[in-house]
Amino acid sequence: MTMLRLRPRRRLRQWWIDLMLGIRLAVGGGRAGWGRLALTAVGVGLGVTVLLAATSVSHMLQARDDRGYARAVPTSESAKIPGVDPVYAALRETTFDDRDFEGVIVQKTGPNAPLPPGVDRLPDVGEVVLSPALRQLLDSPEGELLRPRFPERVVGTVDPSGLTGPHELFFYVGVPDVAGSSGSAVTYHFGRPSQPRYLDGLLWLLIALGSVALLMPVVVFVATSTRLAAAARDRRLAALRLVGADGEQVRRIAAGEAFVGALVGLVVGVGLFALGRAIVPTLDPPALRGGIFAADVRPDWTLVALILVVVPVLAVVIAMFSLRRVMIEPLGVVRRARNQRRRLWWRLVPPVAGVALLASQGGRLSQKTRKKASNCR
Amino acid sequence: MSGPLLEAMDLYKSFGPTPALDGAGMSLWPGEVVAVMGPSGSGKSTLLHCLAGILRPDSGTVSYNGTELSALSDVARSELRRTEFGFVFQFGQLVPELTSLENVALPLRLGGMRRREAEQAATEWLERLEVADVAGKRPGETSGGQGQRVAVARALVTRPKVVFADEPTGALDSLNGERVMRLLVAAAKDTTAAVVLVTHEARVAAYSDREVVVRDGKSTQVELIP
Ligand SMILES: Nc1ncnc2c1ncn2[C@@H]1O[C@H](COP(=O)(O)OP(=O)(O)OP(=O)(O)O)[C@@H](O)[C@H]1O
Ligand SMILES: [Mg+2]
Repeated sequence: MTMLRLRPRRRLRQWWIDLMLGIRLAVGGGRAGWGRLALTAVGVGLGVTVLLAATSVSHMLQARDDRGYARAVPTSESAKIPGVDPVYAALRETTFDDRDFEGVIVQKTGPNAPLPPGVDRLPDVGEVVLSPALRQLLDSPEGELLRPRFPERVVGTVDPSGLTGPHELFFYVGVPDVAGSSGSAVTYHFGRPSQPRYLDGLLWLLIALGSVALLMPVVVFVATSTRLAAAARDRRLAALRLVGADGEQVRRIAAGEAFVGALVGLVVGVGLFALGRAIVPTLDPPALRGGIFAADVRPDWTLVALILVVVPVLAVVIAMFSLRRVMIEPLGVVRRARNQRRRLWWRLVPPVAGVALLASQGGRLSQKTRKKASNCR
Repeated sequence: MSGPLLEAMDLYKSFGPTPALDGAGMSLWPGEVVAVMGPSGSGKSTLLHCLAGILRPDSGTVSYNGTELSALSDVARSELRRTEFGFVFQFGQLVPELTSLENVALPLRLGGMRRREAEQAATEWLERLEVADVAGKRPGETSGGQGQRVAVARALVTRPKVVFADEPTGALDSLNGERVMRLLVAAAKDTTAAVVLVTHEARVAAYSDREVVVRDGKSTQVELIP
């Protein structure tokens, strides 16, 4: 018998063959094989979707804020801009049928009036510019009772760059005596410098808790299906050992198999995220008044890159790690160490971390609510 | 070749309190077919597993071509299984996800052979065992007899020196059993592979050159009567 050591090139080829074999085992393994792959892919996919969504929250809120600042009416007299005829403007908030909406009353002082974003002509007296959602509401039977409050001639629509969300009810209306009304200011431009919204601890906490709540069932699902699949996998790997795969090869084959599951899971995850992104504009959650533009739902690309790399790597590492405790022998699985007692402190980590997070934010919570009350947008 | 190809001596093996082998031993010479007979639970399968190096006896020695198996690393024993040994069990040794062709090509692929060559060799062996028609089917989609013939093709595709067959016809009716045995023995003789054939059916043992009887973990080599 000859024990030839593989030369690097042959070894590389063998690695490749082993990985391909693992991939082959993951796909096209009959109905049961496809079912297993589908379970893995859905589990990983849901996880990826939740992560992508979580990384999108920050940008989404920031984009809404930015557009809010860009159309803000200055509350004090602004510096003179040569060649611009200033306008008198004041913010007005109102409700209709339990729906809050707001708008700006304006009075021009000349033809070169400044323009807020998303508006191509500021209304003269007796004219109004509406957001698409408000216009639709006024045209619908539901808007019957609202119509008398907007007798003005509609001369334009506010486009998305001037709205925080697609369902926002917003207007600019030309009124004769803004100068004398409350809260008005004379201004040469719309908008205030945008504040970078650094996500404060409380918001991060909410995002983290939300993600964990969404990921929990996913984790349970993945763990269950993995455990169910493990027995079949061990049998399969034992059959490979019998025909002469060594321990290393079996690990590589298992890695190839896990890699495919993670990869398909990534595709499913990105697909579900894209689907969610397409559905988002049709929703009108009360917490985010005016709804969400699809364009605002944009994950942080560095985190996306991280997810795209980490998920398959993690899948492979977990697959290989799970084989460390068991020796796949040609006749079946042999446990290397007797089953360790499950350590309690592991299970205590999530609740303790949760309580710590809550405690660290508790003080800010009350402070925040007080601030919210005085903050109008 | 001077000595036996495979030689086991004084094998003891117990699973917990149950002794499975109690001083068993046997030798296998190149190219011969040896039937291992004995009642159920007597230790036949355990003996075969020890001979093939997939089970380590508690004590005793198994040497292949003069090399002590227990002295070999896992990698070396794996290579032995891949290149020098072939296995046919009662059922369940084929990989259910792979087609018959892929199953037969498997040991060659695990040895680094290119797919095209490996599948060509596999096709030839499937033809030889009269199962070329199920090349594209997975084990679950073939009959028991076809599956066993695919398993025989896989055991022989690497042209091993020893084929370990544990009740290869145990799950088949007599007609299919005969066919598998005929093809197995003919192919083994053609490639000068020795066969360790575990069975408790006299009709199957009739294909052997000599017999080893195992009883309560002890073995008796029955010498050839000319
Ligand atoms: N993995 C195992 N764990 C525990 N006991 C085992 C194991 N394998 C075999 N045994 C026991 O060892 C003894 C010999 O078993 P073995 O499988 O070698 O018998 P056998 O002659 O092949 O029987 P059969 O003809 O039924 O296949 C039996 O008592 C059996 O119960
Ligand atoms: Mg047996």
